[in-house]
Parts: sequence; C-alpha cells; structure tokens
Amino acid sequence: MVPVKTALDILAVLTGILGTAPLFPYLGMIPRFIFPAALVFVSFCTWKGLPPLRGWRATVLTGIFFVYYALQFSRDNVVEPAANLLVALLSIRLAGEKIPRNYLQIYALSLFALAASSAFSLSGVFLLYLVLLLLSIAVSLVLLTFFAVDSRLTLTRRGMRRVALVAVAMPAASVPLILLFFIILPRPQLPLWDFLAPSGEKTAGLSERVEPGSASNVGEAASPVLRAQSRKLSSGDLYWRGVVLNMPRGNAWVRSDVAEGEPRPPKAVAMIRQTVFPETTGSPYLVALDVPWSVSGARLEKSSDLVFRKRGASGGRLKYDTASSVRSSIETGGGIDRKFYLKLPERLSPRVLALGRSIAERGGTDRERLSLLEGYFHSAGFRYAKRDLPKAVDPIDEFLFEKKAGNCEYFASSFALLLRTAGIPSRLVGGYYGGEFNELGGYYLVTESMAHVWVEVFLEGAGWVRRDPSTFAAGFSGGGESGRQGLMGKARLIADTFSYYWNQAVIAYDLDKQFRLVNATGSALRKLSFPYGLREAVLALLVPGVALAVFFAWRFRRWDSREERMVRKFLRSVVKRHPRIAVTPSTGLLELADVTGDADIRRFADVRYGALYRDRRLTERELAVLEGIVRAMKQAQ
Amino acid sequence: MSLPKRDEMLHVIETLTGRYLRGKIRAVKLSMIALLSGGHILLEDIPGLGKTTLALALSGVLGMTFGRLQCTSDLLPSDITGLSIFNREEGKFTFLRGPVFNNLVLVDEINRAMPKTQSALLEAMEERRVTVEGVTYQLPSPFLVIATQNPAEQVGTYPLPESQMDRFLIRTGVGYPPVDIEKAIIKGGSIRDRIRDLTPLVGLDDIVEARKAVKERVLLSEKIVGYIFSIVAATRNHPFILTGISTRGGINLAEAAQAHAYLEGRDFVIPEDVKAVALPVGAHRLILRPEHEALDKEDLFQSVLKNIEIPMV
Repeated sequence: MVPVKTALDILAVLTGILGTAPLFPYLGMIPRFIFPAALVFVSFCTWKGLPPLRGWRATVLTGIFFVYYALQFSRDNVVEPAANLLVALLSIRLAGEKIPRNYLQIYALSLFALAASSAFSLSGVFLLYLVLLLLSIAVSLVLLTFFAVDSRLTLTRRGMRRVALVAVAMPAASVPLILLFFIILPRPQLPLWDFLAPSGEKTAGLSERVEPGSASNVGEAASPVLRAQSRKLSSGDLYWRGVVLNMPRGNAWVRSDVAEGEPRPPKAVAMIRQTVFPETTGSPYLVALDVPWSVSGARLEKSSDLVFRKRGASGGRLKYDTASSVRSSIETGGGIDRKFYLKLPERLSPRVLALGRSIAERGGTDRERLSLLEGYFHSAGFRYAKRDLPKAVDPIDEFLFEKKAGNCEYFASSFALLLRTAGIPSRLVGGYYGGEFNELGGYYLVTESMAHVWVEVFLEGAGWVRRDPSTFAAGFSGGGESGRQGLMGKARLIADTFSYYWNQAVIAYDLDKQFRLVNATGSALRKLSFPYGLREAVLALLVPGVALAVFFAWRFRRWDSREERMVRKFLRSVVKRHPRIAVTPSTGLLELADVTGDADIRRFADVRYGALYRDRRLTERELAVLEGIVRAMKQAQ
Repeated sequence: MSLPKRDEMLHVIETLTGRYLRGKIRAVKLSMIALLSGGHILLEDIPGLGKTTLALALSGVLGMTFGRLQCTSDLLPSDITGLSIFNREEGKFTFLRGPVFNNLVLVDEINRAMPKTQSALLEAMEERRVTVEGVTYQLPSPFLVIATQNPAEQVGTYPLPESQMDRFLIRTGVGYPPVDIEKAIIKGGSIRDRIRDLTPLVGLDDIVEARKAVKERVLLSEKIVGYIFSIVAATRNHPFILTGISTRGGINLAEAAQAHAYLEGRDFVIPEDVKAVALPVGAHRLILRPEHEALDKEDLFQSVLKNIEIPMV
C-alpha cells in the first residue's frame, strides 16, 4: 500500500529537481545553496515527522526573495534575477507544507525554471529534461485528483502502477501533436537570452588578439566550438585555421588588413571536404581545417591569407562546407609585401634583438636561419605550461630567457618575433589544434580548450609554411586532444553525438527551412502530373468507389436510434451522479434504482421497462418523458 | 391494471411474515412463488430454523389440506402413496390414501428415505398422480410439496441424485432470523399452538385463479426468453460446470420469474425478476466438474449471471 501523499511528495521533489537541474549552472549563489538545502530540510522533516515550513514564515521568506531580486532587476539584467527568483520560490514551496494548490505551484515553477534554462542554453539535454518533467507532472496531476478527493487515500502497488501507466499514456498520446507543432511553429535559433541582449562575452579560445602576459593562467573551457563532419585524419594534421595575426603591437599581435595576390591551391593534392557545424560564439571567423582553400555555404568574405569572415549580422546557426589540403604550404601568386611581414614592435628587448641578429648572421638563407631558430627552441629547454605564466613588462623576454615556460601564445609570439628580427617574414595563425573523433557520428569535436596559436613562415619558393613552435616544448600534449577512455568517456561520446544531431535536426531547423519545406511541398504538388488518361481513369474509379463506400456505410452501420442515444446518455448521467456504483451491462435499471435509491432512475426504469419488456416500441410521449428525465439529471449536475 | 388475486396473495405473505414467520420473508416469498408457478420447494437447512413451522403456517393460512411425512430409511413407497386394504364387509379392496393426497405435503428429511421411496415421491410430484395396483389416482390441485433436508448430517442418508434435484423448482435455505427478531422469537416461545388456530385467508379457488393469472396474464417477452436462454447457455458452456441447466430448468426459471413479476404487481417479466429467482431456481441444478466440486454452486451461478448482458434494445 502506498499513500498517495507520499507518492505526490516524492514526485514533487523529482519535478523540482528536473526543472532546476538544467538551470543550475546559471544560477546565483543563493539559489544554488537554498535549493539543495530545501530538499535536505524537507527530507529531514519527513524522516523525523516534523512539520515543514509553514504559514507566515514561508510568506515572509517569499517576500524577502522577491524584494531582493526585484532590486537587481534592470533592463539589461532581466533573465538572471528572474531565474534565481524562480528557483528560490520553488525551494520555499518544496520546503513548505503542501495542499493541492502548493503542488500545482511546484509543477508550474518547475516548468518555468526549465523554460528559463532555454534562455541560457539550447542544449539537447533540454529535451530529456522536458520529457521527464512532463511525465512526472502528468503522473502527479492524476495522483493529485485522487489526493484532492481524499488526502489520506492509499493505493495498492498495482493500483499505483496502473495510475502511472494511464498518466504516462497521456503525454505519449500528444507526441504526434508535438511533432506537428515542431514543424510549423516559428522559433529562434539562438538561446533566447542571446537573442534579447547579444553579449560580447567570450571565453578563452579564438581571439583577434594574442597577447602573452595578459593573464597568469589560462582557463580551460571544454565547451564545444565546432563539429566537423569528416573522415578520420592523422592527429598531427588537425590544425583548424581561424584567424591570421600579422601585426605586432606592443606585447600583442593583432590583425591588420593586407592586400596580396590570391593564393593558388596546389594541384594534384587530395582535397579533404568537411561540413562544419559551428557552435554559436561571438567570433566572426569561420574555422576550417588548415589549409582551407574554399569555404562555402555561408555569406562570407575571404582574405588573401585564407581567413574567412562572416558577413552581416551574426544571426542564426549555420553550417558550411570546406575544402582543405593538409600539409601543404600557401603559395602566393604575386609574392608578398616583405616589409609588412618584417615589422617589429616599437619596443623590443635587447636580448631578443641580439638573439635574432645572431641567427641572421649565422644563417645564410631563410631556410638555414629557420632551422637554426628551431634548433635553438629545441635545445633551450622550454616547457609547456598553462599556469604561472610569465607576466612582466616584457613577457616575451621573460619567457625566452627567465622562465622558459609558457603556453602556445608565448611560443608562437616569440618564435614569430625572432623570425622577424632574423629577417624572415612570419605571421601568427590562431585557431584550434586537435579534435576528438566521434566514431558514432563520424565527426570531429573541437572544444575551446583546444585553442591554439602557431606560426607561418614565408619561404621563398614554397610560400607560407606552417611551423608550430609549441611542439618543441616539453610537456606539450597537443591541444585538448586526449583519449578519454572508459565508461565516462563513452557516455560523453554518446551525449555529444546526441547534441550533434540535436543541433542538426532541431536547432538548425529554422524559419528558413520551414519556408523551404513549404515551397518544396507546394512545388511537388504542382509538379504532380498524370500521364494521359490516368486522371480520367482515377476519377472514373474514385466516384463509384466513394459511392459504394457511402452505400455500405449506410447499409451496414447500425445507426443508433433516438432511443439508444437516450439510453446511453442516461447511463452516462447515472455514472456521473453515482460514481461509486458499478454500472455494467449486466445491471438492470431497476436494480440500479434499488441500489442507489434514486427516484429519477426509478421513473426512467418504469417507463422504459414498460415498453421494452412488453415487446413494443416507446411511444412518442414516453420518449419525451424519458428525455425530460435525462435532461433534468444532466442539469442537476 | 390490477392482477386478479394479487392483493390476496400479498396479504397472505404479509400476514405470515408479519405475525408468524418473522424474519423468513425470503423463504415465504419463494414458497409462494413455487405455489403460484406450480412447482415444489426444497428447504435445505439445519434443523430448528422453522422449516416445519413454515409449512404448517402456509397450509393453515392458505386453507389447504396438510400431510406430513417423516422420512426414515425404512419408509416404504406405500407409506407415501397409500395402499389397498381388504374390506371384509364389502368383500373387496379399498384404497386408503396416503399422506401425499393433500394440497400441501411436508416431506421432512427427504434424504433419509431410501432411493426407492424417494423416487416414488418424486414421481408423484412430477406427474401429480399416483398409480397403485393398476389404478391411477389424481392428486389434489393445487399440490405443493415442501421437502426439507439437513445438509450437515451425512450418516445414514441417501443424497438426492441430481436428476431428482432437478424436479424441485426451488431450493433454498431458511437461514437464521435477524438478531432482534430472533431475540423476540426466543422471548415469545414457540408459535406452533397459535399456528393451529390460523384461519384460512384464501381459498383453493383463489389459488387456482392466481395461478391462472400468473400463466396467462404475465407477459414473457421475447427479450426475456432470450435472456433466460443466454443464462442457460452460459451455464452449459462454463468451464467449471459439467452439466448446466436443463430445458426443464429454463422453463422453471421462466415460470418462477412470472410468479415473481405477478407478486411485484407487473403484468410483464423484467430481467430483475429473472435475477431475483435465478439463484434458488437454477443453482441446485448445476453439476460441477469433479475438480471444482468444492465451489459453492450459488456463488458460481452468481458469477455466471454477472457476465450476462441485460437486453436493453
């Protein structure tokens, strides 16, 4: 035996958790604390049999939270206070005593909390939470109807199971409707909150400015940047080109526009074609596997240094196709502006300058100097590090001669600077290095933690050649690429595959696609043509067919008489009026009248039996009397 | 529309149950139904619950002649039917009528009589006549047998074979009266003496007329016939039942339902009439499969009834 109240309480907690969980990472400190506290509190009270939070205490707490978050509320800060307040209210409701109204409030608040999570993120996990939440609420609502009638009701395990099954069947029945609405309803393609207030917020990763020494630690966010549908490649080739930084300015490298001849793709090299699904980030650059020769499928502008930039407002989720060739140099058509690529920052430490000069003196050609510099990087004992980075007035100097530890930004910046001091044109390329190949989905997953910077060197006769000085360092593992093994790794893999398909099928399904679908359907219908004579033949078959169907329906369908309809209506009213009486086909009307003591039923039975079991039809008057009784019963309800 | 003699019959029932046989409404009513539809009744209950009193009271108030048989294993058929004795004065055999030549015959503990005697009695019940030494004597009309048997005692009994159970229209128990009424009965003492002083409320003619009314005036519609048939058919197809209700059982069910409708004051039978008499009329006719013999026949029959739809159209 299971008391309905216990089941409802458990489901209420479950509902609250399901509603809050997707929102949790975005919550403030207070709701993050009080939500679990409320759960602990209510479990403790139930366990000890203590009364929960009630009456004025709950009201006062509600008031305090409301005022607190209302004060934070502003035009630029709408969603966060609202989400925090929602979870705070939900926590109070969960901790408080529960009458049917409170349960309903919990369900509503949980749904709102889940909805609020979509203002922060459009992850596919939303679907999972939504389905679970709807199931939980459906079961709860059915149980709540029991609870409202008798709060101390208990159900057997079997009864409970049946209630749950029926309740679960209800949302299941609405699935076709959900699919229909999915196809026809308009939708935004970005998280709602981004839509309302486009934020320039960006985590570590691809940026238009590489400035070693700006931070002592580099954060690592494993959030996905892009997924590229591709065949599996050698892991050393996974350089994803984003932006080229060609101008040192102060301690930083920035991008400056450059006019050069269009580079020519090499002939007789197999192109690797990929379809890239980028996550929405603030970056305007389209990332593609190095060396990308062409990017198509989005409105973009292409620079001569093979940087692809989105054109227009960054609206909507997009995908683009790329064609790249790995391990090839970028041959420029008309040479390069050597002066431009040899520019040095205004202020350069003498030690760096001296090192560059010495290399220039020792090497005769650019190639020799390059190998000399590489040899220096090899032998100097650099260490790859992400923490405790050099952070001085001149971080490059400190990195090269003092600490000898840094991340890719230090390696690439110093390498490029030394190249330039040695008289070799060079530039920085920002992008990503590595990638996790998803065997299930057949795509590479690139995350923010794989952000990387390397160097391109211009060599006469070869063009721009990629050199990654970070690989000379001890302890360089290569971006975030790692073989995550074991159960957790597999689970992550599956979750990411789901997320991939979710983005492709659900999030990327936008207004544009809806229009295309409508157009395609319309044109397909218009184009529908029959060969000569078929249309006539179909018509000739269809008309008699329909006529025949109508005839058979009329002939064989037992049309309900007025009498039968009336009896059915009467039985329905009886069931409504006496819900505890079992009305089965083997129950007589007079029996019903005896059991219920209902005068209306007795009158009805007398009149109807008088005709039915005398083998005659009801007279018009009797029929009118009976219908009058049925009407009166209906009105009395 | 009033049915002839119905008021008198109801008056009889009221008188009996109100003053003499308190707490035995069901048994009295069923006895009246048996009487009106021309069947016989088997009271199956432990001794001392007023079976005999019931029979005595009925005979007294109905103005019927009364005969009584106390069955023992050495009771002979001739003890029931009567026998011819040589009359010396007239120089020929004259037939001395046995107790069966009465309107109402109480056969006490019928299962103690040996099968030969039982079958003689049951034959008389069915045929309503007795043939002794080649001469056939008509039994009086109306003719009602009230047989009793004690289900608890088994030693020295000859249980009635199923074929003979079928001859009783109704088998029922009497049951203990409700607590208050039983207390009053205990306080008041036996009413045997008062019963002897009962004056008949109706005459034989009234009963005959009422019977006629039941047969002719109470309509048995096609739908009810169909309903009864589906009950009978359901008992024949039931997996627990070896032999279901016979055609005679079906006829009896219809007759009893008619009598019930008559007592209710209706000139047509409704399914509720059939249901009201179905258990006492039908249950004892069922023969269960050996593996299900432990089941209560009335419960089983009740469950069969529950699955039969009432004709509503």
